[in-house]
Amino acid sequence: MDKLIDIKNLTVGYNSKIVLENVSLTINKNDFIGIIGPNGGGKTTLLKAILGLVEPISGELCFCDELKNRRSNIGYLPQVNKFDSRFPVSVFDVILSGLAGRKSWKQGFMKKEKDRVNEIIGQLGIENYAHKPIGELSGGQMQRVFLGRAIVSNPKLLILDEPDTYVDNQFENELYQKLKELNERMAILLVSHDVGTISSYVKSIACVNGELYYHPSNMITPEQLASYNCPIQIITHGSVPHTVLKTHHPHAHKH
Amino acid sequence: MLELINYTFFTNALIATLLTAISCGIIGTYIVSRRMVFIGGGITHASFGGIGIAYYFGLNPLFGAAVFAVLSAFGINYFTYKGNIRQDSSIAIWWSLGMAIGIVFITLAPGYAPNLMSFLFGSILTVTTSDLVFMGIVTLVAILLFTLFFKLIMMIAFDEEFARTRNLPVTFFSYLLMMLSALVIVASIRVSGVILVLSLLTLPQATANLFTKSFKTIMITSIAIGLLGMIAGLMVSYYTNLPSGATIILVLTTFFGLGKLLSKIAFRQIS
Ligand SMILES: Nc1ncnc2c1ncn2[C@@H]1O[C@H](COP(=O)(O)OP(=O)(O)O)[C@@H](O)[C@H]1O
Ligand SMILES: [Mg+2]
Repeated sequence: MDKLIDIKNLTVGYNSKIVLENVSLTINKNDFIGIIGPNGGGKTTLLKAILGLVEPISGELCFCDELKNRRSNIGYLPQVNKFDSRFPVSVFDVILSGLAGRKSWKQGFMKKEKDRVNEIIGQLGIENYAHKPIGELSGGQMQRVFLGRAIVSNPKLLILDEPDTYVDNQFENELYQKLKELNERMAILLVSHDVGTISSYVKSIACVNGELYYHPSNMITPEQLASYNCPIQIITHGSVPHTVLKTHHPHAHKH
Repeated sequence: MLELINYTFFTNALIATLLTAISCGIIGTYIVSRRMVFIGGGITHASFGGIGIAYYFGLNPLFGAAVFAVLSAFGINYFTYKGNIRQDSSIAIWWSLGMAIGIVFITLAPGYAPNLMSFLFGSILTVTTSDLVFMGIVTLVAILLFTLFFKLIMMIAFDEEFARTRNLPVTFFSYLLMMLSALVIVASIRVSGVILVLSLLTLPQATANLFTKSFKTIMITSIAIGLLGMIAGLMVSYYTNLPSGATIILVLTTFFGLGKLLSKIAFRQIS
């Protein structure tokens, strides 16, 4: 396996308040890891540590070969409600900012980069609102745009923080289909509280709740969740093939 | 009306108007887009402390204001990043501390402080050449920075965290723009005073924002609106003998009201 990131005994916190303790995780090429866990369990913090947005207190965070130049090779879709939706900026420029880097901020963007943005706009099928201000988009449209911003640089690793909140079912299905496709080219780290849905797409699961338990398969039982110290509810939707969710309790199939 | 041009004080006022319209148009758009208006208020009022101290020691008040404005800007930014104090509380502390220091030192200063009102409410007709030089430099820096690094500034302003993941010099530019905002505010104190300066940074932008949702267009339009409003305000104040700062704000508010009406009518016709 080609390693992309090796996290060893990482401890992360804010102002000496520890949020994640002794976390270890290896991310390989082609991985599709679903990260689950209760609110406040430290999922976002883990992603931020990987992205270099918070400095770890101790431990190792090692970027291997293709990720050496780490940040520009990672695509990031942040948790919603972070940014200001009334900010005067167009969809096109938001996606373009995903190509920003050391070079472009001095020289500006070239035609090649704008062509690439148009290509992504085509791929995501968002031509209709490509030049609208982002303030005029719906929740699902907005997430498409932020997905575009995350993947426009063709990253080696794609990190998504709850991309499935505040979006409609149609977009959710589209999103996971798209991620499956992208996973052929890049590793994916996906935070979601919807274990039921993601387990049919991800290849492995990490439970984060102060600590991290890695589960090397996409099938996870409520007992295992409990033993991983991961008290979350399994929501199953009618459209999801239930076989992927190994359940020992027959009533878990009902909602 | 044209005969006014022959008076130096009036020419100076016109130049000050132009420079203030440009610098406030640019920085105001940045401040409004980043929702930093309250920070702007903090900086403005904190600078009054500098004015008071400068008075006491017989220095140039604008110099004192500049030092205090930049210090408070950095102070607020620092607390936000290192934050054990919430940002709005930190702003309020700088805000009232600056006013308190200003009032204490002006009271302690020997003799009567005749220009106090002009710093609180502005007095564009008494702008001096050295004021103009200061305003000119600040405006030039703002123009240069926003033409050279427009895309970068927008990306940082829109989503600072994402900009960091792209390896952009976020912290450096945040501080740089904070400092520039502080200096623009101080430069505009001459025109509208500590108490009214916030409207020069927000009213033209709010009016422009009624018609466009593009950062660049808001910036350019608010320069035009600001210039028009300030010149009109100046004229009205000259002929009515009302204070110029307050008149300018009233004219700009009227523009906003008219804009609101116009945009309502325009959108009704479209739909
Ligand atoms: N910038 C911050 N400063 C201080 N504490 C924070 C910050 N961000 C998150 N936390 C705290 O860290 C804990 C984990 O948060 P987070 O990683 O966002 O959890 P999750 O994404 O799993 O919901 C929470 O208790 C939260 O309050
Ligand atoms: Mg989170």
